[in-house]
Amino acid sequence: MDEIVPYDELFEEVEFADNPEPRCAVMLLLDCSGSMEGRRIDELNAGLRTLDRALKADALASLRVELAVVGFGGQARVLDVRGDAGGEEIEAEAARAFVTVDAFTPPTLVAGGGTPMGEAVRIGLRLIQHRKLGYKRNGIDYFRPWMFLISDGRPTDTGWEEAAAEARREEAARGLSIYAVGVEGCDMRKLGRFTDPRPPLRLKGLAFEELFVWLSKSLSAVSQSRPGDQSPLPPIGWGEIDTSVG
Amino acid sequence: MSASAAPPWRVIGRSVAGSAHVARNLPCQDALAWRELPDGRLILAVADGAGSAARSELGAAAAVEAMVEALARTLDGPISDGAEALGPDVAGPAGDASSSHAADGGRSLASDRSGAAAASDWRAAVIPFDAEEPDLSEPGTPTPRSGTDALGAAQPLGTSQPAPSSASAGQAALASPSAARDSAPDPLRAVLHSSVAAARAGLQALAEAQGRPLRDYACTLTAVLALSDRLWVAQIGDSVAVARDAAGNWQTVGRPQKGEYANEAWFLTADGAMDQLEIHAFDLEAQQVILSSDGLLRLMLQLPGFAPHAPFLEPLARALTSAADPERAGQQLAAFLASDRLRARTDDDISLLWAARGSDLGPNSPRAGSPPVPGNTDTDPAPSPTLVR
Repeated sequence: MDEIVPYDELFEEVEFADNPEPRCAVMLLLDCSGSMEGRRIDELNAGLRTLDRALKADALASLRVELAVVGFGGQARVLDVRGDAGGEEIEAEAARAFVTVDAFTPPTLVAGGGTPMGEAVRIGLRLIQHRKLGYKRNGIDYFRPWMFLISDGRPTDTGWEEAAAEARREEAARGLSIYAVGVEGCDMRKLGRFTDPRPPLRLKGLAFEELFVWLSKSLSAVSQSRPGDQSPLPPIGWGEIDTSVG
Repeated sequence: MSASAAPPWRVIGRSVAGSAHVARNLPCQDALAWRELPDGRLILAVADGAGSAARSELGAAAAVEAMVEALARTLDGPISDGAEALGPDVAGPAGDASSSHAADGGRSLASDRSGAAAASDWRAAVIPFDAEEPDLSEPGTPTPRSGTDALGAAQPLGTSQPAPSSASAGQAALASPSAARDSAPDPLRAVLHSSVAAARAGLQALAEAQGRPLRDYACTLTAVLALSDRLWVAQIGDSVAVARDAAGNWQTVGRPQKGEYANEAWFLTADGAMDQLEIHAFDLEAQQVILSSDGLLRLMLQLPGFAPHAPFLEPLARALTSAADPERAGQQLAAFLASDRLRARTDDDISLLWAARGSDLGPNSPRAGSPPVPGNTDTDPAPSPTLVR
């Protein structure tokens, strides 16, 4: 008797293991200094909501991308972006700071104060390092983390040069990928110190919307990428590479 | 050739293109190959082409063929009948409605005649196994070392792997490579090493013949040599291999090599590939062996320790063991690998190469749950050397 069994019956008892998805950690360092007040901060906030929507619409990115936000205006603050927490300041603790897309709520940033960019970068680097340790402890695979620094000014905190040096060292050691975006009025030369040799990008006008759409597409590409994929990032329509610094 | 003293293996394998590749009009970049030697030793190989490498499906196919050929040639002498080397498939017609690749040994590189010719140049690169070989890495947990990415740029491997989870009683476990130290290094270690070198040389020849850089053919490679009481595994990259002993215990014998980041892997084409190669021997009487590319990794193994997930493997093994017709079972396997159920969990290429030793196969197999009928021994057709895709 050789009954032809349909394949789904033949293998119906095969059960899949339940393993965590690999994670892609994204650290957003966002300038909330006084000069961002008005339309700039409004556009930035709208851009964050666009990022949120775009990532939530991508099934794989939703499972894999984790976001953390550090706003720097007066002080550098780690923001609670989980659920309905409302973007309040929280302790710089990696497991609380990084939130998966499905639980992420874009904060509403408020502008005011100076520009402690160095402090923000230092906090961001530390949180990323700790997050990686957390991944390793829990046996979770991860992609190379991203750090995205957006500013319209220049760092006003002392010791920012050391923070920039630390960022450059981390990037050189392939610990993360750092991108810097300067809004009009930004001191691009100083901004570039954080990402050297990668040149900072100058935002066209207030094209935050386009920037965050680009970011969501890039994260989609990375979160799908497989060993050996060199997924090229989508073309940058929202900004220009600033070659005036060097 | 003399008839095999041991009962022949049943080998069933299929590869299907992942939905991500189908969407981008890319072919399946996995390849499988196997050969049973006259004395019952079995060679299995899987290669997974790098997604972004322009011709990695050719690379993967050439790598598994060259690996199997080099091993077989060294272990069993020159192939007496040249036609066997890339013989026709026994299982399944070409051109399934599904996106799986039916095995198509003789024409695996038919898309490019020069590719087929180039692949045969590997023979010149085989190092006879009695030549002096350095004693390679000891069996044991691989230690972090530098590797290279697909572009050949050196990069640190990163921190050490999470510790393997402890085995639950009698069940799935990470096999420990054999601790026994021979008084002299086992010559099979050098044979495996030289066969991997031959596979790599085959890719170099292919690249030269086609006028392309070697990295266009980037792929991982895992090969298994199953002896009656010992299992050898040679591995570069992130494919996996598991084995089942007579008592029904599954063990992971080929663990994926991982870089720090999820989208990094080691490839046979990388500059440091031969340093990255791991060769382990396991004192284990394997009754079944499964090789898979990384598409099924998260489904068939339990992370972080890469322990075999018995609820995946056992029913799969039962289905393939008890099937009356291995050809049809192969088609059904292909359909399963292309099924919605699997596609919901991974959009990667999926390959599975399964082998079961000996008699007691088929619907009357005791392993199928029904008592054997006296006098009815299942005999699978004597397998030809086959490239299974």
